[in-house]
Amino acid sequence: MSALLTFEDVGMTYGHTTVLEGVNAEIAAGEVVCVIGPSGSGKSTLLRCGAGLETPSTGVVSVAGEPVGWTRRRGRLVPARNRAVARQRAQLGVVFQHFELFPHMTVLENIIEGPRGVLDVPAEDARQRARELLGRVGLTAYESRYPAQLSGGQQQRAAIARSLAMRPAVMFFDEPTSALDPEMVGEVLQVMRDLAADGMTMLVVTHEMGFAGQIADRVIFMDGGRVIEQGDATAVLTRPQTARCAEFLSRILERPVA
Amino acid sequence: MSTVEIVHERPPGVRLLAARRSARHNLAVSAVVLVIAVLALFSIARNHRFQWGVVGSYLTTGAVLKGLLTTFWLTFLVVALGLVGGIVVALLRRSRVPAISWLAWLFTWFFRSVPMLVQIIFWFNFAALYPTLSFGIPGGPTFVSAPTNSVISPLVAVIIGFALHESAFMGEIIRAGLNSVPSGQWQAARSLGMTEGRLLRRVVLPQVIRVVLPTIGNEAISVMKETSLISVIAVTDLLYSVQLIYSVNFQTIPLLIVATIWYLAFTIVLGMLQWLLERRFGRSVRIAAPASRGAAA
Repeated sequence: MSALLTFEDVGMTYGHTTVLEGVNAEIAAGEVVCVIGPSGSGKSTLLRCGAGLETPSTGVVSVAGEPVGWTRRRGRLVPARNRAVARQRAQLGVVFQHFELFPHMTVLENIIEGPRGVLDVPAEDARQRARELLGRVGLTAYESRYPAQLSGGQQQRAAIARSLAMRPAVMFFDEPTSALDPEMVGEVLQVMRDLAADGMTMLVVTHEMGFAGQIADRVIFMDGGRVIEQGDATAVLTRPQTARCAEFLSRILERPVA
Repeated sequence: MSTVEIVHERPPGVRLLAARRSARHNLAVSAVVLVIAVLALFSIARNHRFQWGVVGSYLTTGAVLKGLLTTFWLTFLVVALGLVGGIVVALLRRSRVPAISWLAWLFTWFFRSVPMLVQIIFWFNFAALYPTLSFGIPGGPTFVSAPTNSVISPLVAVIIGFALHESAFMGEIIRAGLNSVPSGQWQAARSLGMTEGRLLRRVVLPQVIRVVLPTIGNEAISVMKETSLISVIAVTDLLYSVQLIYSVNFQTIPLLIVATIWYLAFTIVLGMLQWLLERRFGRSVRIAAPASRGAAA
């Protein structure tokens, strides 16, 4: 199994606070990996490092063997230029907890912004592709709406379409349903299920344990900035090997799962 | 069942009555205010010492209109330059390089602190401080050199001063606007592979402008009034034009009223412009306002 996304000894320190420490993980092409753990455990930081939005203080994240945020020069790794970093980020899709659609653009404008401005796709092609994606996430009728006119679930689906328009190699989801009203969680999870079924490589930070169980090939449990346990999804979720993971799951599962 | 039942004891008519009473009350207050306003206007209009005839005869004189035109373009030029400068200052202020953000702070501190009147006189005399402008290596060879007054006229120097002064104020306004754009917006733009320049142009600044427009409208009115200080270097703006007239015919008050009328009118123009821009940049939010729902956070 060749890894598409690799975390090698990734650590992150802000001032005197260590947020991530010695994280090693591999995600194969087409694999869906869910990251779970209590809040403040470093899940989102790990995701942002993976997506190239932050550069880890130690260690390296690589996508298809290419270190993210670094270039090889004469056999050594040096920080990549801004443009090179931007090019890398362009192939890594991120879906945020609070959607982060651009409020001053319509849904369609949001989706074609990246392809048009970053990838230089001709306007007509970008629009056609955007409409195709809107169909896939069930928002065909909403292309000329502004984000504030949509429900949370619709906004999140539009945000997923915006990321997909860049034809990313990996999709990162940062608690994509935590900001949603309960009745809208399902529609977003369904879109993600479809994506997984299409073979998209996904790293998902989530609190939806039931969903993780259905969709994930593997689960990574984090606490205190470290990976405590990782392995086959069903195994980790139903027969956790560590006390901390077991305790976390029992706390989470006391509440009904979506 | 032990639930407490909430009883609406107030009969439905009471609210209606209260509404009618408050409407009558509002009407009475409006009438009183209107009467006071009309009386004040009457007193002003019938006071012959205001010399309304003189006001009327000078309102559209060529010299006054020319002065108005100067005030007009000076205001727009300074606001435009200040806006561009302000964006630069605000961005430098956010720089991660300490020396750069410190320099931006120093700029803001200096140009906000020195009174505009002092700056006008200073910039007007810039040529006295630096009689020649040269391009070269300090202490080494000089490549190009020219007398300062031939490169920038005193008026241009003063406009530069105005622009720097305004950049310092606009910088703070823009900085507040930049801070109002959630960090998630920056991250979303970066995750699409946008370079920082593109991110600012396409994602952040359009949102900043919407937020800061009311404050910039305010600032533009301030600039309009501040341009009157330029009279000290004998530029015939609106105020200096009427000053020139009343220094000859001694009709000080009527001519100041002429200038006041035009300043009031100019403010209305600026207000309309602001309204149009707010409509343009607020479109997405305005259309959306009634339907927004669904996000729990």
